[in-house]
Amino acid sequence: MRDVVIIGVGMHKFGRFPEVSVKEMTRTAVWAAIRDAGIDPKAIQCAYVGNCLQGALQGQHAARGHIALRSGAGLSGLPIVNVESGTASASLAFRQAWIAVASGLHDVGLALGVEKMSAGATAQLLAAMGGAVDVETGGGRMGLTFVGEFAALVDKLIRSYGWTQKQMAKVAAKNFYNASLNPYAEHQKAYTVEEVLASPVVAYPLTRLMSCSARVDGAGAIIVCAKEVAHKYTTRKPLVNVAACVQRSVPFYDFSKPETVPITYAHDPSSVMEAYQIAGAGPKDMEIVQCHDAFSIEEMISYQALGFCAPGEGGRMIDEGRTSLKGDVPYNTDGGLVARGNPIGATGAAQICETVWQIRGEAGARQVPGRDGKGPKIGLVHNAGGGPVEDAIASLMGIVLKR
Amino acid sequence: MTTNVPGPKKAVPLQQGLFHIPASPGDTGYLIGSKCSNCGYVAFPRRVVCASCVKDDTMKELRLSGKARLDRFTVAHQAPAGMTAPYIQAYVQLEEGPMLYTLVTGVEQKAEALQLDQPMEAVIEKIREDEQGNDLIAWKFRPVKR
Repeated sequence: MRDVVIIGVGMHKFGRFPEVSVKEMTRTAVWAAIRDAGIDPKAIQCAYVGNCLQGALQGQHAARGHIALRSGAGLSGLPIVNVESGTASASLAFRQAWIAVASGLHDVGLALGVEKMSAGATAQLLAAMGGAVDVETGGGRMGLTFVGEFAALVDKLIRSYGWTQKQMAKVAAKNFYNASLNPYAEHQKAYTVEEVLASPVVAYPLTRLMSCSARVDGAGAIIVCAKEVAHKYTTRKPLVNVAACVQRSVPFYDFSKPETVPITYAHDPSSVMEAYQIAGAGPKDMEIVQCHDAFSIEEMISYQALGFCAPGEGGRMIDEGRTSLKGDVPYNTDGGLVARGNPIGATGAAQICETVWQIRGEAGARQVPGRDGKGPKIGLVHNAGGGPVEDAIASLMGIVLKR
Repeated sequence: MTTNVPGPKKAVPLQQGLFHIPASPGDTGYLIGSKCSNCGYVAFPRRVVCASCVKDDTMKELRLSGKARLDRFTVAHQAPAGMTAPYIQAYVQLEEGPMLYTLVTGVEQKAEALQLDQPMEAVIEKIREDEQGNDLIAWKFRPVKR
């Protein structure tokens, strides 16, 4: 396997843009990445396109990536693979591009994540989202909602650990503040803890401002290259190394043996644990984390699940400000899923773009200094996709990037 | 001239094979799972391949007791189509092992009505009207009366 580097990243702003098509968002993100890398677009040798909902919402059931890249971004002839893995679609597309380049088959690969959730009727969207769980036996037709799923877990953790609704509101407020400094974020307003608590309860104890929006559009693109030949293609930007890129699928949990099932099982860390091993780096080394927080509670669970604190200490992590931009483990520096936005098939790309910008020192007002003052040297991405398959999330990504 | 008069309501199960629907007033409904003849793992919904020891064709049909423990729950204040808020979304663990999502019946739909770890029992009944106006049948759980 060859070492792989990221040479260019680009995004289309996340938000609700009914008048902007998948093709237009594709063009914006892909060409931003091409310009960022300073690469000849004809040098891109393969592409992987993450998208989850364009079939259900716009009827584009097949060849989505081929159509978006050809008719949106002008890219022809190269091999294009469509990738679907729920909210992990874009990070999985990134992994496939990484594999293609690491294997030696191609020198330069493109990963795109694009989603347009403002299209289609609300009932179509709800049905499509319900299709992220087992449609035969999943709880969707019995009133189970994603927010309910997590609210029930939160309620249990509150009772087990003594966490409070206010601590969850602090996580959300921190992330809205980060998003207010991110021009690509869906939310540009820094809601206070009080505003988060005062917003309507969706499923107790989660309020609307602790939950990601249902309808968000956006796109993100990443260009990867074999490190040994990167200088032939670009010298424009500092190279960011892909130290680990892991996908795992839902693990088997036997609930009849409760001692084998971690309380955090709904936020399974197995992909990140493997990524730590491959990267030869652990939570003590990570200077920045983008985690999967469709609901603010997931970030508090993430603190312990990914090894940043002892079980139950998540409340203290947020109270002590350790995960804010000025803390020692800045979490979701771009606002995360709740505040930066969660257009399903594009979300993982945003997490990767943000980590690259932070490592390069290009994150503007939300730039974190890192331990040497030159920006973080190493960062972690945790992305999950698909609803519960019997017992946990379907697809799990763990990615480590470093200077 | 014909008029579009809806026919009599039908009882439509959530999915065939997941549970037994009471056929008469004296009959009781129950959940149908499967148990591995090799390792003893119990699955609900029933499976053909055992996910624990990963053997093919070892899962044999098992009538589940319907006895369970309330693992966690929330009160949803926004309802998807077909549901009415507020309503409880809960997870129960069957005494045979599986964890499953359920609606809760027999109590007011508020947080004070339930306690974690309390004993629950399954009932098979209408959970709501489906999109065609038929009765959608599935499981619910209710607290065991002391």
